[in-house]
Amino acid sequence: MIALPQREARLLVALHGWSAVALGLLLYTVLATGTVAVMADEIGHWSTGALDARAPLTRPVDAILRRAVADAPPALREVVDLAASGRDGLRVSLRDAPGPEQRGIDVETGPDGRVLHRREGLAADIAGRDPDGALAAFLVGIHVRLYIPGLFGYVVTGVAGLALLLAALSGLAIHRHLLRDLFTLRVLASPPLAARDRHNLAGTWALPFALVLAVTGAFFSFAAPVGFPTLAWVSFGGDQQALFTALLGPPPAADPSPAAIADLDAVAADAGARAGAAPAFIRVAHPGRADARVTVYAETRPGDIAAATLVYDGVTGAFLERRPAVGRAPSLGGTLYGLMAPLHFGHFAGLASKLAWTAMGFCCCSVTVGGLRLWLVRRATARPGWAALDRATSVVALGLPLAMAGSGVGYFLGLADGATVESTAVGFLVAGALALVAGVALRRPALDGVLRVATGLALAALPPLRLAAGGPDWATALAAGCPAIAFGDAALLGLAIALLHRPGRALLRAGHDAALAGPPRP
Amino acid sequence: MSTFPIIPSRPVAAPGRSLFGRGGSALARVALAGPGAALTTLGVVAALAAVLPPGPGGVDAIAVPLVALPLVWAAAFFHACLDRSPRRAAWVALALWTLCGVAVALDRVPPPATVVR
Repeated sequence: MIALPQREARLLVALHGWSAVALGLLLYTVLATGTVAVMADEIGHWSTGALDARAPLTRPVDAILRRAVADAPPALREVVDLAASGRDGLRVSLRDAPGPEQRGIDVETGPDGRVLHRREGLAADIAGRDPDGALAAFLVGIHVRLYIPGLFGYVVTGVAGLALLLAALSGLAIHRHLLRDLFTLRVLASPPLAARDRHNLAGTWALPFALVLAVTGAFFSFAAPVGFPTLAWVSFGGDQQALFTALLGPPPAADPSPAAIADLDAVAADAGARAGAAPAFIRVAHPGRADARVTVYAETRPGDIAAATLVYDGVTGAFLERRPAVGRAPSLGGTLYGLMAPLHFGHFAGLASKLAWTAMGFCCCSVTVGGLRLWLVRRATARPGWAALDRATSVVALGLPLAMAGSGVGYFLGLADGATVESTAVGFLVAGALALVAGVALRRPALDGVLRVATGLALAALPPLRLAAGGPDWATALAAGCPAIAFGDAALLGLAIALLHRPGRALLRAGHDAALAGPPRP
Repeated sequence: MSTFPIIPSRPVAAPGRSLFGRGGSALARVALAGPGAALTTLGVVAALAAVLPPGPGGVDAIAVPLVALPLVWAAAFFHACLDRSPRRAAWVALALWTLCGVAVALDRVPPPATVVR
């Protein structure tokens, strides 16, 4: 129990509640999309039906890189990135010098090396346009910046992070019985008391997680629009490129004379052996020049919290150094910086930590919406303004999952003509608009039930849609060692059942009551 | 007594008086906790970048202020809200700003030229 003077306790209660009123729905939006985005890789495997369990960068990539470099104009050979893309594929991104008018080429190849998609244009326009990975990319994009243009989107999600920090710290301070609340849930108590127990229980368990998410989330969101410009102004005279050079290490001395390209397959194999994990991302700077460098970013090795970064000579393929996440040598700042990503994305222990992060994300969503409902439970009947917020809470809390399910429906419907990038966004917007219309048109008591049923039905429709779009069935996926597909279907059907259970029971009870009452008398 | 002791369903302050103080002081507190806390955070982050040593990796002065940003904001925000005297909260913020300004200014002033005999 935390003993606070009465005035401070009341003030913190007011801050806790009013911050939820002001920013609770934004916070819920960022939390709910983040909870889904944690499983972005698995959603990518599930939606594309990828059956090759091997990481794409453990397959031969050298010939693909050479062909992509040979086909590209010399100006676009400044840097080449190789990463996994949808449907077991590999994405090769060629870029010219960084800047607002940076141009590039993105090539996606299948497991057999065949070119599936090729896009050329401004880097900002072609990035993230992989049709196969559109669903996962769209869900991550909402979480990261809510598709608000420019850096402003990062500021908005950063404000959500600070709101979470405020709610978690004030919630911790006003907790009367921290330990008791960990185990108190009176399910048979009156609905308001049970709701308060649920809020306290989920909030107490999720408290450390909420603090970690708030700090790491605000770190990521504010770094680009606020942190880097401020630090560059103080330490590098406003030159952000110099700041990134300090973080990522200086490039080798420029030498544009032509040279051979190192055997990338040998480099990737050596990096995998040294890191104890498969390469996740490879960057080749200046391929075909004497100053070429290959940087291999490996997956996180089991038992480690941070992944390895290995640097090779881009001409001879000789191993040069093992670099920390940032900086020239291990240091306090580098360690703290390196911890941010695994703690925010929850991928440090593979699927187990991702599932734990997803569960805690659900807890935080439940605490946010539950807390808002507690705040509104009496006020909504007294004043129209509170009633509107109560209605908005239902529309956002249940409409956002409906819209995300709608994006999945849009993705599978757009697979046939390869327009998934557009159809995924359209599916999200249409489902979101339907939730909004329901929020305006329906009577308050019916609103939650209708949105719950709509979300449940949309989620239940996703596995059949995936199969209809040519996705593999469970037996094929399990035989190929890809449990993500069956797991994804089962999770969606489980969620659908959970959402449809209560309205279905109410419908059955209403039918039963009507049958008992008999036919209406004339 | 309220059914919800944790999240009360009616205003917690006495009628006619805000928890944040009367009229002007409430406004000062809102200004301190909102834009004031944001500016204090920027100032402290800039000052940390100026005073921290680069460390063996050469990145401590970049990474530590970035990681500290949300925590600095939380400290500035809660101090602005919880200090019983908004005047004192304002003085503390101003002092912190001055300190940060001096630290950044000293860091940006070029070292005096070496006198060659």
